[in-house]
Amino acid sequence: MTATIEVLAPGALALVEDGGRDLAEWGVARSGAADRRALALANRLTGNAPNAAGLECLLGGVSLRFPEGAIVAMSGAQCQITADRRALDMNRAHHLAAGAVLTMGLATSGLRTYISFRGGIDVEPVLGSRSRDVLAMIGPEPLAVGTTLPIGSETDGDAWFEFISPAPLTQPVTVRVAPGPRTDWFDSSALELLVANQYTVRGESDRTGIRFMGVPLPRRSGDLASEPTLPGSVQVPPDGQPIVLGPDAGVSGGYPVIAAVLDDDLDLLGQVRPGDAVTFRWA
Amino acid sequence: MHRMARPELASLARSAEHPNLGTLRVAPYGRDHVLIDVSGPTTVTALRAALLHEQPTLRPRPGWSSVLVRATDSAKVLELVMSLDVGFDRNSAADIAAPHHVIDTSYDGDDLETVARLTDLTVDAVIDAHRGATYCVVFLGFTRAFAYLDGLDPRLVAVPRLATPRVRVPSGSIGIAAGQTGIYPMASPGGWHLLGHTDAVLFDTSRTPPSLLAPGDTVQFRAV
Repeated sequence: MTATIEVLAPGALALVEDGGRDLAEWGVARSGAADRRALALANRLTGNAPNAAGLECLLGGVSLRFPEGAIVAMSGAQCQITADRRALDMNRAHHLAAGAVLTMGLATSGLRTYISFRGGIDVEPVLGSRSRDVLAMIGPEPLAVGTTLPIGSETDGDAWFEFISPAPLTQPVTVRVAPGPRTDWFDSSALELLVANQYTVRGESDRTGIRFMGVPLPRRSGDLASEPTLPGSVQVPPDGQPIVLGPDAGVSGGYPVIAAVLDDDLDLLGQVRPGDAVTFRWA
Repeated sequence: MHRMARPELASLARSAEHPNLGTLRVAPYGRDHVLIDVSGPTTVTALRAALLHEQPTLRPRPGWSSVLVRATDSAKVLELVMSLDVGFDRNSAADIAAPHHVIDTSYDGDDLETVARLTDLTVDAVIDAHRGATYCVVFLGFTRAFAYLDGLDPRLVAVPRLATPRVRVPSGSIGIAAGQTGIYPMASPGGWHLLGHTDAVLFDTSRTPPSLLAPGDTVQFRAV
């Protein structure tokens, strides 16, 4: 019999995510967990392969029932988690008995909490991945009250029931950038301004991109012919306020790209909230 | 506080003249990619085909006038591109072996009158100009494999993007803007002038690859 997850409350936005897709030349975004390191840690704790499909919960607030029981682990944004009134530590695995209800409070720091289930979420892959792409609307629908998800049986090792200390989320977040292809579109001062000032995360940010507000980066006017983009591309629209593309961003764009966030540092941006300050640093 | 020197601008981009491809510019795109700029879509199609043949591990991803590759050293990429013997006929937009698609089209778009006014043509002449051309798929971009097609009739090239994009363009809509034409593979916001629509399924996740159209393919629109 397949074990299942019943969704009692989805919180602000709960998505199935894994390691994402590799089809950019076919016009399909990478998608996948916005904080891949946090998902990989949760998966390691339950004994899954690092890119197994888990849940990405925006700001917590999720409640799940396990009719057959499960082994679970949570990583990423910090929140209070209980199962049948027992407090559960994050960053270690837990056995949940048949019928257990797991409830997450609101995240107190960070933005996205990941839940891994031993065996992985076993929904049908779409284009080689179980990730939801919120822009292209590919992959499993966002969770809703009453959604039932199957738990698979594919594992990669033993679960780990002791606490593992993850890298702390520190403020302000500093991410490393390397030059983009269009530095020639910018005043030479723009390359200094980008790293000399803090930029604030705006509310209009999501998995397609993080919009920042800060000292504008002076640039040439006009548009480029559409060119390929990447998660981490730092685009600068005419108003000079940078946008860092996220995992679900379209795969092409016409705004000049001044820099690209190093792939290793993208996870940090998966955890920043509106109002948070981010510092860019040339790698 | 932040004393990080800015990157040495002079060392970033390199230009060269290729016997077949013309002027090239190669620049790093972050740490793991390099962007190759060329003169336009015809050259993009030829360069992409040559790279796929010569060094498929670079995973070339075309844009309208550039090709992105997975590589860390832009100098080596330039060296490789300069060594490419591009079997490339400037008069034919596409490889003869590439698939050809005929897209059944209802020319009933909301912007036909506007396009006629902008181009000083009748609505019928706009339709004839659009369906009379053979297009080349330059690249799949935006989201869900939106195909950017090159080969628009010169009389339609002056049509710009909409001043205010539509919030929602229905799936299958066929539009033109800024010298390009394309088909919306899903309902989305959109800034192109709409000439018509098709019922063809452009994107199907159960197909491999999912997109009906691939870079290098040719396309014609047939009025129905």
